[in-house]
Amino acid sequence: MRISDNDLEKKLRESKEEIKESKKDNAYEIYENAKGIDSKKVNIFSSIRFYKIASALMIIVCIVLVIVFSSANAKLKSKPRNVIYYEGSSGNSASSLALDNSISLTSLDSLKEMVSSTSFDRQVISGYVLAADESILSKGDTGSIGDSSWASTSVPGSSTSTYKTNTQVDNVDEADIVKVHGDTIFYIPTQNNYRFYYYSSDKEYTPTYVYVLKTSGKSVDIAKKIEYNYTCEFALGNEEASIYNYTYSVPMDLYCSDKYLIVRVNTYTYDELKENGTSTRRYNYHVYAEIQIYDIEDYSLVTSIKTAGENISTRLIDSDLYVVNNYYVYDDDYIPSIIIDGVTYKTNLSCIYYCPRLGASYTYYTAIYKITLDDDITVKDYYFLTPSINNIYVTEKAIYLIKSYGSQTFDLGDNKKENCTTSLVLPISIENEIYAQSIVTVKGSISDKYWIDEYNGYLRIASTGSRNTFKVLKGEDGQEYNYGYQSSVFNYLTIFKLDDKGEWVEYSSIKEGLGEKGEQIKSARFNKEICTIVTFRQTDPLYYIDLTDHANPIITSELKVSGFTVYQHPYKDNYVIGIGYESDANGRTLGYKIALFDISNKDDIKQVGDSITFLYNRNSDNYLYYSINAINNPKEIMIDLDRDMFGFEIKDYRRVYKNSNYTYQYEYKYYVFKIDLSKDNPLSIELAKGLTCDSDSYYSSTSNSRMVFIGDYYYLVSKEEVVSYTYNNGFSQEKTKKLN
Amino acid sequence: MRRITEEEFSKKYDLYKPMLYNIAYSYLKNTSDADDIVQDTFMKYLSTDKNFDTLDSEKYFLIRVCINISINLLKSKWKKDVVKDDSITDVIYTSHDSSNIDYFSLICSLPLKYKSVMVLYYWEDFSVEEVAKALNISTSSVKKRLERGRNMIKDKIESMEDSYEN
Repeated sequence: MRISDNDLEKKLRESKEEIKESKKDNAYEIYENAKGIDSKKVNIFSSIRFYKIASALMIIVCIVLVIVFSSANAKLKSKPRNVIYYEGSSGNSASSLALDNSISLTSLDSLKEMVSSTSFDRQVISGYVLAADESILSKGDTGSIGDSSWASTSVPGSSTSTYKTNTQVDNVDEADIVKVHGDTIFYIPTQNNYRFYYYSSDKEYTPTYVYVLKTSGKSVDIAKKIEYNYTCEFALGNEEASIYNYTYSVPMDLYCSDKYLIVRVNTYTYDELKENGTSTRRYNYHVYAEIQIYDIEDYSLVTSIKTAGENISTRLIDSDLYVVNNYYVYDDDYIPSIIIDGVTYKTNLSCIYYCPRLGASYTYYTAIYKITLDDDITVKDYYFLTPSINNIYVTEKAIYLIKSYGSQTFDLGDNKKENCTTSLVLPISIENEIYAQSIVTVKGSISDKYWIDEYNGYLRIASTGSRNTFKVLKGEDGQEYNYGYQSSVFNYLTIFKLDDKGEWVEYSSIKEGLGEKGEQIKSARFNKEICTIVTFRQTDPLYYIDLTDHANPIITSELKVSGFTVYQHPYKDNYVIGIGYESDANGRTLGYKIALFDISNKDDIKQVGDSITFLYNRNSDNYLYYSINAINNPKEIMIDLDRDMFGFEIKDYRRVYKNSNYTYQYEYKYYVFKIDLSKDNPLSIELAKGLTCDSDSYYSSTSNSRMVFIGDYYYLVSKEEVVSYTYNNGFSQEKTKKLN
Repeated sequence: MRRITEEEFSKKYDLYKPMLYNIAYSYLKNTSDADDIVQDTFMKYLSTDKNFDTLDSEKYFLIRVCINISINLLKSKWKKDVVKDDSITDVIYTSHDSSNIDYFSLICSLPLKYKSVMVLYYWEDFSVEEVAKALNISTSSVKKRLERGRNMIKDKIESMEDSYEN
């Protein structure tokens, strides 16, 4: 049979109908799973041209290095008067515990051997690791615990008459893009902190700023704009092909202490090869997390400290700033260096600690910098050989490094194996000396820092994960075949206590009963002796867990509602504000929901009144979605519980099909919600203020508008303007001040 | 992880998933493998910081990743599975009526090089230029492969009929 070309074309196109429909539609699941992944640090552009130019660059760099190195030796290493860098942070009053748990390596060779020998070795055997060098391991288990006062008050942030950041732990401040100090507001209005990646040379690059806004009642004045811009330097080349080096500084977040304004700055550098009208980029992976310190009175720059590695997070406790970075050893940089005001200091080998109790994988150092912000600024650095860290939880006594590994396989014996997620928590004591404690392992992932809490010496951790059990068959060819997969989801609440050897041991747990079949934990919140956990697959049980006796944690009641809460905030100790998603009976999300739960009776928790919802319209051509960034970043929520209010920004975006084209429209609004317990439906919207938004916003997800308050005055800051209000049983006397 | 919010990612997922699923399906010919490949493709997308100058280059990246993962999975299956891969010759036709010919299987059974251009051109309605950009080959290669793919299919149809008639 012959077939004409036209017929064949038609049949080939129609054959698409034979494709069987997909069974999965799980964008949310993929996104959640991806959260634990470390992103690749290097973007290597591969092409022959690149290597040619790169080798030319290398020669130039080598020449430059020779010059710099020879001049550095002659350079006076005099430090600025009030910035003191302690080379080698051990010494002083080392407790025996500190020495036993955190061992300084004696030579660069032993460090190198350790770092290159095992990378990503995930076999952690009961919390200890088979070290490459046995002699180091022998110094591990002696010594008794010095002080057992591990108790810290881990109380959720409430409010006073001046705005404070919504932090997880009282007295432990977290960096944010807006801070209030007296009558001054400091604000970084970055609409999209990463927008420079999409910057192409035909657009005008606009610098970013830290705004210093002085308030006086409703009036707002721009006292100063601290500018951050970019530099472009011609590196080498000719008319045909040339390389430019770009350096961008972008302020990321800030703190205020008594004396200083502290700004964390990211510096991105890349080389751009311009050739025949096209340009390609190679990003520089040598990263520093820069801390700029300004005087809080006159906003003059006091010092700039470039800490090594990629920043994970920071905290400010009184006048101590802790900077926690992931440092990866590239190109034999076994010894990190930091740059203070342009002068490079190589750290001392004795600051790099190997801790037998911290587990495997030495390709990363977790770098912890303690910067004390008194009249003299002192810098101390500590590097711990650890796996790479996803997140941290910090109390006044310790920094807990959190690592959710992804999956690990366990041998269950009898030709059965189990593959499930595991997480590590690595506590680093910061009270006096900085030293590592012992590793804590849980099965499952710790999805955010609110899932871990320390109270009165007990470390409580909520985790969720999935496990695949399967059987293993050895074929005749010696190969292993896996079959009989059974997967299930599990949710654990595990409680650890410090024993007298200074190790965290599992004390009690809840391993059954949290969540029905297939449900995963979506949010957890600890408030002293109460823990509320939300699990979800199709409905949302909210569980109340009584922790008055840590030896016996009990689920005392559960409440089933639709949707699920992602962020919980305690209100007046008897209530919980839940912000999350609404969903239908099949578990598909329908939009966002804000609800109030009454947990005063631990045996019978219930929702109070109606929830406030923002529901999507999923019409395929003209759809409407909402986006609330604050639920994934609780610092964005303004907590004003003295006035029974809280607020955050909500974005709505629509796709409209018009003239055979899709157009996207965005609108940002700032909402303030009020709770009035005297009403049947206590939740209401007190303010919904539309914000001016940037039209070039395909890649922006929020406008990052925030509201803060000083006494009776409220200030809504956004990229374009500051809107101020007087609050007296309602927002009134709106006044706008442009920021440009 | 890539710096993208869940809502933005969800938009991209809705946009690209059908196409990636179809590509994966053409290689693995079953829904669960195709679903897994789609998932792996998006995971790879989320776990790399790679920057895309245009939306198109993002799309082509996803396509290439998807094809690579599909081919890798296919190869590992060939090693483990005892079952022969179903090629065109295994399909039995009982009638010479062209409407009963399984064009879908014919495309799926093409050698990998031709399959990817056929799938993008016929199922996803890519132009020749777009296929070239997506697979990083020249437009003349695309045209040649399309022609050869079509000819292979034509030959198969004609030879089937001839053998039937004989």
